[in-house]
Amino acid sequence: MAGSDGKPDIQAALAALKESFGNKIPAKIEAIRQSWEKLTATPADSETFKLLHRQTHTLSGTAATYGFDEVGRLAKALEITLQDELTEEPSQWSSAAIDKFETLLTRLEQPDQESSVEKESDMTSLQKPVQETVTAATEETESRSASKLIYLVDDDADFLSTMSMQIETFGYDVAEFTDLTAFSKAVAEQEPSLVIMDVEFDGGPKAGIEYIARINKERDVPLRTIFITGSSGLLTRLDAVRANGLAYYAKPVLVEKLVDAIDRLTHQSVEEPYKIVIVDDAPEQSAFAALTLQQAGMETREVNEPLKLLALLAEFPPDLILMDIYMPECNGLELSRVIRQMDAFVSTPIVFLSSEHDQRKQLGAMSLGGDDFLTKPVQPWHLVSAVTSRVKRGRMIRKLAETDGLTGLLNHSKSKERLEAELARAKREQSHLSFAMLDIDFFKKVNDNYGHPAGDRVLKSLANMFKQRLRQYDVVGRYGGEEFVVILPNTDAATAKLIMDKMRESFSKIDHFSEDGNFTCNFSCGIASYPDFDTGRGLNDEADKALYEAKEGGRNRVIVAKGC
Amino acid sequence: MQALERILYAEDEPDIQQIASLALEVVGGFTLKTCNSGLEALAEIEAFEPQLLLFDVMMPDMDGPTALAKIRELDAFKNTPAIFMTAKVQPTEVQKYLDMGAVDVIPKPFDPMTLATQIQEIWARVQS
Repeated sequence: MAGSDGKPDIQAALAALKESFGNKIPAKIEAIRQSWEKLTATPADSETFKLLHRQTHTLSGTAATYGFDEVGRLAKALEITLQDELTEEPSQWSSAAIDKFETLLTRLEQPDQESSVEKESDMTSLQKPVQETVTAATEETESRSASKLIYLVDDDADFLSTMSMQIETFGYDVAEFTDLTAFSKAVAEQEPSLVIMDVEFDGGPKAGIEYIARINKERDVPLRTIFITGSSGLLTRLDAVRANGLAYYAKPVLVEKLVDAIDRLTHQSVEEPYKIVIVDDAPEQSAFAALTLQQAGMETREVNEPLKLLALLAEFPPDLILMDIYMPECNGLELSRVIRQMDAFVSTPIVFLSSEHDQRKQLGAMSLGGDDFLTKPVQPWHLVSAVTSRVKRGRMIRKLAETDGLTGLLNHSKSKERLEAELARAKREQSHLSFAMLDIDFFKKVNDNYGHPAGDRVLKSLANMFKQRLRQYDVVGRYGGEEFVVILPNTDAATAKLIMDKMRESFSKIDHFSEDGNFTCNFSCGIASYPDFDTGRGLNDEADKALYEAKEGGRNRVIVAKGC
Repeated sequence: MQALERILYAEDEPDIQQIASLALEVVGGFTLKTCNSGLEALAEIEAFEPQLLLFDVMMPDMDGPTALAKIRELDAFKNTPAIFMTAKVQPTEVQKYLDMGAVDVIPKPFDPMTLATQIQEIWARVQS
């Protein structure tokens, strides 16, 4: 949600505030109606007169500020009529003035009045920037796809085609160049996210480096370049650094290593936005905290009824919970104890937000499972920094505990946990979900024949390929050994089979390197889907059975469970 | 010129508080202390030490002008610039608020995208 200059965010936030205010308008008009009825029944009641005056005054000011101009104008007219023509002295009231108030109020109450307000407000300045936000969002996706464009330059055509196919397997678009003129023309037309350049181009001992250096001289920002070379002399390396080379690899190039470097250099900010749940019984308070955190690029959910928190946690497992201490139904301290009793949230940081200045009470709250205490009113920058540092540390600890060290994928227990969470969401949203279980064929032989380091590289390359190729919300885990799982939300069994078959084909094309020669690998896969199976255990067992069937049927294939 | 950072803001209407917080904190980058009434503003002012007061005129408990008069009795805040916000901006009224010691009056409704700039301009004028 972070825009380059921050402006679209503010506009979007404003539009959201506006919408929420718009929803409250009918109730505000209804309150004015009730006061008016009461005042006409008891004209001498000066308290009611004052109340009605305040109500009309407030609505006229707020409605116009939020861009509901017509509502604001009518409310203003009501206020003036009340103040100047009716006055606090009922003996002065003329029937004309009463009629006028009644007519204005009736117009304010017209349902089509509201729709005309909507139309009118569409024209206001609030609406246009929201569209800009949408455009900005699409541009972002486009630039993201552009970040997958790689220019590969080498005079060895065979090397070029093998290498580009290998890199494409990991989800990148590769353009090959055997000639420098075509390459510079392409750079001028479309900026690649990365250039991979042969150092000894066309026989020159460092022609590739010199060429990049020459191009960079005419550019404000140097081309992002990885050099590959047949020699590994220090002097050439030095030249490569001087030409702003980001990395340097000697042939034969290990594809996995090269792709690791490409991943690192093209996806510098792949980190998921921080997810924060805000629990506060006052919607204004939670909206403000949410807005502040969203401005800092975080994703937020607000809970205004504490008892609804548990349901939300299942579908939106947060990095941190920000909680008001004093709430009706169930206070923050009790609630944090409940959260701490749930295994999945034992380590989720909880930060209390309260106007409590008493240090003893603060400490008491911490002993009950809170991690930090922020005293209201909290300044936006303080809130953002307190949340950021907690989440950073929390994520690091969680990563160590939840992911597999070799591949960086979710480990067994975390994968199962995510399956349950995604399944719950699919049930609620009445959507499909597919669960795939896969196993690398004859993996033991890889280890035996080519050694464990080569085996580890195979596991890593499979993990990298999935991370690159699947959608952001798909979940990939390593169950153990050479067994992996993939959770595909919003995907039925037939589509899941198509996806996994594509992955299987791509994977089988990767050329794995070892000291004892290059080799290829493939995997077998079983798929089970919701709603055909509706428990995590059912999906797990059926996918496992299908995987077994794929193995029995000759391996290197994808089988969908019976009943899907 | 001293930069404007701390604003004491008094307004009783939550809807307006919310949009003004957005306009002043998020858009303007000011540090804001929001109070629900003049009385609350009076209670908070010494701890917060604002550089500028931004008060709604009509509030329950204690309205803006009364709160300002009380604040002027405090030595530390005799000269703190004050701005009133009000929906009623008859020329005579504006003069009335200026006579009370306000440096300016901002009419409601305000534009949330430019409110911060408007206040910066008033601040620059007062400082010069």
